[in-house]
Amino acid sequence: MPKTGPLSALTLAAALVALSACAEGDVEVTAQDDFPNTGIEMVIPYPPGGGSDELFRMMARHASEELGVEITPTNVDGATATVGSRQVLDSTPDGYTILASHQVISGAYHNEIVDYGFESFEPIALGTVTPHLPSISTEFAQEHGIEDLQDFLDHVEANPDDVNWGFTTGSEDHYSIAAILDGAGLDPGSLNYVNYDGTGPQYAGVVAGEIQGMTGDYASAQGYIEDGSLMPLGIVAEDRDDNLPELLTVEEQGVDHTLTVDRGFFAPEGTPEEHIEVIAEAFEAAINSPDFQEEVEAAGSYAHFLGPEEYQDHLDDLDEAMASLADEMQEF
Amino acid sequence: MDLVHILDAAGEILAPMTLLSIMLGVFFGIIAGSIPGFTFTMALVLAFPFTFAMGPIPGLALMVGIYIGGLSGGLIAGTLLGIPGTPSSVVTIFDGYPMTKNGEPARALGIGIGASVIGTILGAIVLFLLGPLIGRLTLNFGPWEIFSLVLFALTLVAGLSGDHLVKGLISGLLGVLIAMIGVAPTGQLRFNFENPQLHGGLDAIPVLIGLFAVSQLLINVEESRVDTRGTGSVHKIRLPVPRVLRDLWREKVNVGRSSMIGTFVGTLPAAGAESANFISYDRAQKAEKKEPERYGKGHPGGIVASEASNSSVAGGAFIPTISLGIPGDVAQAIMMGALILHGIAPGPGLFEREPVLVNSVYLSIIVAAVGVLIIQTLLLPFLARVTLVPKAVLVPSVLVMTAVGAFALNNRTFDIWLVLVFGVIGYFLVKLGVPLPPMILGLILGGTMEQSLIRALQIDDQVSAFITRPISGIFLALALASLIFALCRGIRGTQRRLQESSDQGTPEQDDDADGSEAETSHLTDTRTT
Repeated sequence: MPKTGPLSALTLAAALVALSACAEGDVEVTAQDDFPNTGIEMVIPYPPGGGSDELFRMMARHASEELGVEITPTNVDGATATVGSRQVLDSTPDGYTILASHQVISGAYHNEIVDYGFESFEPIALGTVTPHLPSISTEFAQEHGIEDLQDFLDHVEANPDDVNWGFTTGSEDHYSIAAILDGAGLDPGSLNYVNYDGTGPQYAGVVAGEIQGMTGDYASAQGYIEDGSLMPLGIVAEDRDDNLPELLTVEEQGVDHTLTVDRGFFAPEGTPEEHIEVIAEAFEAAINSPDFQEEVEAAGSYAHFLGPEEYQDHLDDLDEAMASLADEMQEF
Repeated sequence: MDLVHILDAAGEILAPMTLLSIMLGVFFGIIAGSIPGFTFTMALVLAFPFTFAMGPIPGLALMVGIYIGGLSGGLIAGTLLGIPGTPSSVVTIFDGYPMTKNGEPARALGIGIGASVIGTILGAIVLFLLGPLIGRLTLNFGPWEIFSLVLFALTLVAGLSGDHLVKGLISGLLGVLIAMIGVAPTGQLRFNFENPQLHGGLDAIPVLIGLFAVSQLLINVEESRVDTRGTGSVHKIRLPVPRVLRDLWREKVNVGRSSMIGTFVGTLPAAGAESANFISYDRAQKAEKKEPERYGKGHPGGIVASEASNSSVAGGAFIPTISLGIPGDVAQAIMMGALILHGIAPGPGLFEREPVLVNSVYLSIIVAAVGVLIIQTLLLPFLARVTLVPKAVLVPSVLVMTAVGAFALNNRTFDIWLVLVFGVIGYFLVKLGVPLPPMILGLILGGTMEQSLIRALQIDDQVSAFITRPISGIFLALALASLIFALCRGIRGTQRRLQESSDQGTPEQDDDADGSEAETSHLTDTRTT
């Protein structure tokens, strides 16, 4: 073996450094007025294949047609959706990099996973709302004669820490169940919380009897509800859902909680207002188109457009609600 | 299972356009699987929009094609360059690369393709016959069982480190340590060193590329001083069909066993392909009676064990997806997503509601396996030519590819740095004689192990449940047995080394130590020659 070996190896290493440095340079924005003149990158902070990923890709596809340039979704997942949000936050605020996300931004902040929340982003548009379905396994329901949300809450009150509840730390389902218990005057910590990475494994946990309850949504829970293994306790929304017309809202059952999962788009702080307007208009046209609405309803969600200002107000309310429960959520 | 549904499904799958889309899928899957850093998951994401325009069955068939092609594609780079194209082809390089170095790249590829195709078909048959049954059985695998299974798989590290048990342990535990970086399953951040890029943890693939590819390339650079030509010779790049068939026939038990391990372990979400691979290799090596010392030096059985199990995983992975609606990995989740967008809700009732669709999944797996056989065999003479390329040309080209691949994975430049850093780490570890495979095993399975442990304890804080639950207990016992076995062998190895150093020059060949010596050599010798 020649003595010069490691030296050449170092040269090679240097080449790799140079290569990675090249990729780091950002494309500078040219003119202000012809925005957008090239494709827009949309960061989805979740892995491909989940509910969020599907809805965001659907919106990107429809909005691309309106915008005239391609909105390219890229999945950057990890760390309660903060790897992706951080990447957008650190990008050049020119409108060419946007984040597709929902209240997990605030959830991650209040769970102290990151030190930034909604305020570090400029809201562009709200796109879809998805109602949560807090559900329990049918087996458990029959065993304890639970027929609705109130029965369940009574059971939890009488037997704290008896029910294993699946959740994802700092995620929106974490908040949803905490808000329901809190709204009913119970300690949000009176369930025995079990952490799962996303809702897919939670369904597996329910079917296998590891956990008795979880928070799902219609698109993913449909199969389990029809097959009789899962029983939704109520729907978290202002109104009942056409897919499950018999199911009462949580509010109808006496718990004041109507917060849906609101999926929308964000730009890093400092993005020019005109650019945000241009993107928001494209989303408005896309989201209000009958084609899109049909597609999204088949996937168990609803199209609901809000422009930058209304969305900001909505986020302020949302953040306030989530902040009020932050301490209790930290405990489990 | 109604014959009518099977015939209907056959009608759908054998339609010319559907067949064409499966073949296209297989082709692009192979390409994606063969480039380190590119994964078939990426190819699936890219294909996703195209499936909108297709019906649910042709759309799904396209995705199945990509999936099966991708699973088999990993063997190409692994066999020819010693660089695993996918995490589940790490084991393929143990014997595939040495065989290439011995001047038989076409034979190595041929065995890999053969085992891969047979494994895929066997996996599909199990899925067809026993799918719903196994689906129900997997529900018995709670976090306790997954934890114990993964622990068992991790103890196989010992088998991968031969005489140098301590070095193997160092490597394996380093892997587990790296897996701990980022947000813990309980929501706390750890080992992040104030660097936000570390919050999500390190992706296994850039680390894998760094450890295996870049370190290998750095070693190739050293070698390029002495040998500017590739290792192959022109007449060896033709596929030696009779030879390969003879090899496969000799390994028929191995093919069957590895395929079954792949299928069953593949059904378990998150434990999947990688553990199956290591377990099959370990079994194959222990079962070999005639020449166990050839394992790690280019034994056909090693390639067979790895490729049969990592391809049969496909059949297994579809079981929870179809019978329970629970995707075991990202690739399955994407395919499920495509179904949802076509208005088909996956879940326990899918068999009754969509019998034709379910049967066409089985059939497309088998058609895709045939596609792999045809396309890989046709590509083989071209691919094998890679071994003729001078290293001075090959090394930089592969390096650029790996950097691009690492970036494309998560669109982060940070991942390119990871490749570089782990390339240098891997280079030094190889020089120190520390085996790399245990590190990968630790990295890939460490996270799953921790998550299962925490989940089990969140459900029930009784530690005894790990022993009293029968399946979990069995795996723990196996883990213990595997440790004791390795310890005994480790002690014997040390004794022998001591003896050798005391009576210099007369190294007495101790018969039962041969196996372990061979194992050491495949992890160190092949990389330093």
